[in-house]
Amino acid sequence: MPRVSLRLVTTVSLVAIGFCISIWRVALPWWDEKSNGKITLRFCHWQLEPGVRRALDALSRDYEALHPNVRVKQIAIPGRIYRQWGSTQLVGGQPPDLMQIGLGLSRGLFFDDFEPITIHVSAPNPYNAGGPLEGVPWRKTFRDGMRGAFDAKTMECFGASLCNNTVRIFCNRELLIKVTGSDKFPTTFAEMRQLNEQLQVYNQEQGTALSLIAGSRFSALIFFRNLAGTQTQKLATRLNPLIDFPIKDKDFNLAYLEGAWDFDDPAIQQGAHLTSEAAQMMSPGFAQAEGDQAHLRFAQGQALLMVLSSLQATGIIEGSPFEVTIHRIPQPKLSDPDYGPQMHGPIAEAALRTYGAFGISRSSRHPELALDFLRFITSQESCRKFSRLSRNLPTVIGIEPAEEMRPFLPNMQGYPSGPDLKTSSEVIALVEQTRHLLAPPISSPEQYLATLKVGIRDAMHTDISRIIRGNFFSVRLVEPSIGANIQLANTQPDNDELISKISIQLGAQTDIEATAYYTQMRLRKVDRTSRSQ
Amino acid sequence: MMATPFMRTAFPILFNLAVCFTTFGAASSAPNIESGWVALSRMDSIQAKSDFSAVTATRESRLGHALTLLGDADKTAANLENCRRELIELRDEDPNDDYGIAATYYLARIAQHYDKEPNVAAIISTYRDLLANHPGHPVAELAAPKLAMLLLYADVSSNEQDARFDEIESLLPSLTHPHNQRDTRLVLADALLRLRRNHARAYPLINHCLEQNLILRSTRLNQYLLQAAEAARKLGLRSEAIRHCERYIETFPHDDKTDEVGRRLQRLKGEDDHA
Repeated sequence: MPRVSLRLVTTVSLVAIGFCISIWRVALPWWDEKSNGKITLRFCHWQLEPGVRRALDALSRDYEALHPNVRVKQIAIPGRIYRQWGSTQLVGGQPPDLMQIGLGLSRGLFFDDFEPITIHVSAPNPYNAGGPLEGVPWRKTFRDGMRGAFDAKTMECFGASLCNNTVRIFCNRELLIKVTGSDKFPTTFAEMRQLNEQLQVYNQEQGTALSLIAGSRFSALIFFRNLAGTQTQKLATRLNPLIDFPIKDKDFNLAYLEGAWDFDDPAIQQGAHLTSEAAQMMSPGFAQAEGDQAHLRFAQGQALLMVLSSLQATGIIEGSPFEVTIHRIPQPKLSDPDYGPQMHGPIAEAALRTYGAFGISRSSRHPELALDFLRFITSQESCRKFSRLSRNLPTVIGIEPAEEMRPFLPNMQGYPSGPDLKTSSEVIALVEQTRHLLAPPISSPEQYLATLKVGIRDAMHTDISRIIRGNFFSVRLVEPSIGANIQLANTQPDNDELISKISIQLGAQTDIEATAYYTQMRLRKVDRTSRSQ
Repeated sequence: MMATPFMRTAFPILFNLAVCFTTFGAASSAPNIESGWVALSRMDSIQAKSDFSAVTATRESRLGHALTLLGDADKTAANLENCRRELIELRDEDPNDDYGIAATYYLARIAQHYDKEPNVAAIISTYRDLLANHPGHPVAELAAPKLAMLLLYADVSSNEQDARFDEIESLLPSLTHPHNQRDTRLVLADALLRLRRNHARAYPLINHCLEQNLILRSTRLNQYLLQAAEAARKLGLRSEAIRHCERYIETFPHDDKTDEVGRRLQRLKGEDDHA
């Protein structure tokens, strides 16, 4: 009898066990439904913040209490792998009934994977019955009118969301008092610099190695962007005489290629200096650190501050064994001798907008139930509960944020932010590769700008060309949808909703197409000028 | 040839049966065509293809099928070629009915956006013909803003550009659909501002769209209210600039520009009082 090796037996057994577990996991909901008559509704998202998960869990249990034959299962997937995981689920034909839309899922072509709910959003949400929002169309119960859930190409609504965020600094109050003798938080960048100096003195006296900010790649991105945006306010406004407000990133870069500004401009020089100063406030190795490493550093009291979004508030506040206070990012004042001259004012924040709507997957076996659950979690009562448990600002109207949430409310006083040298992948990659020159031990804005200058033209050119191609792709994509709506309007001339949908689609298409042609014309002129030089 | 008694009896019966079947077929195909359009409107090409294929081939269902293929044109070259072939047949059979006009328009759009080296002169000529030969037609009129952007964002001499501005301006009175009136005006206004900084000629075009409430998309309304306020200010039309600023603040109370617009409004009011 031939001898079978132990390794082979182990391998086959492991494969068999893995296979059985997979079968069991796939078949469990089906078996539950068949044997107990229970329906399992699954929803997935990338909001790993404990407050958000807990709040969604509480809403799921509430829904189960109302519908005893339904079991709701929450699946939280890390953002880093969400797109790959979600795409696999969609391709496999067994995705969760509701999926949070975003992070590149479906590549923006939502119709392939999600059911539109447009026809439902004009009707009232039945879960608002008996309350102040009874009879109000579902769409109008949201602060942003569900704008974040509408696909601009088709003007179809693909879901509803409970998520929004603002960026804030979280402060270890006890440590602040230890270091400064007071709990007064800096309100300007100059005061922030002073706090950093006080911390260095404290470190020397106490023999500690505390950092001012527990930094991570993500927090650096939002912190630097917030500060750099102050320095380009005047320059970007000068470049946009038609409305006298800062131009957007793409046009800012195009203006560079046209020679309308260069790296010697004081706005760019001071922006680099400001970012360099900010980088010196971050903990060492911030450019490689992930959010959880920064959180750990903050929670262990190794850093005084942390920069993050409001959605992460619960995790930080509850995970820190000290009192945490919340503040806006201190910005330079107009009277600041270094940074004030490039500014029009502190950066005004825009109104809250929802993101990451939950969409009903096309392969859902219970689309009506999924819609019902979506209505339930976005009712005024559920949103109030979600907001309280997750410390997320309410997305539904008529809910006053809790007192502890007030620091997260957007501050609209000031002037819009300027661009910060970032359009899309190429420029971002170049800036990321070069940014170490701004941080200790090098900390040289001059070296940073000189290095950036070498590759910036090509990177900007590639990005702008890509944007033009993307714009033309959008124009092509929506053409049949517009054609179909015009045919439908021939037989439904009094359908106001349809007529307005056509008008909005055409307006968006024309806008994108004309801008793409204009940008293409300018880029070609840039190319001709470069060739002739 | 003399008709036999059998033929005299059978023909009316067969004719009536044929009429019944045709009527029944038309009645049952109508909802399918409509559901095909609804699916296509939602960019659900699989459903649209199935709906359009399920009905007896009519010019409408063939147009629907062609546009469904256009929706998938970026996936395979064969879809684009089949779409183009169907549209050419529809156009050649009858260029003047609704489907022939639509086929002509979409053939020009395909040439504009899918050809590697588009024949821009031929596309412009098609758009001009559509507008001249089918005034007021809902699809033919879509050519107006498309013609405007092709003519205006081209590298031509200053005199030629002037002539093109005039040509697009002369189209405006003939446009009957509000969205085409709006889009053609705004393409023209944008080009006048971007290429010539001509506020005097651009402002009335934008102001018309704002007064008629033609701009529905909030991002667009946001931009044009600011543009109108700035143009009016530069043209010395203070009361109009004030009106646009006030409308901006009322429409966008929570925007990041609202605070600054409020300050500009105060300055404008101060200048007004001073004057």
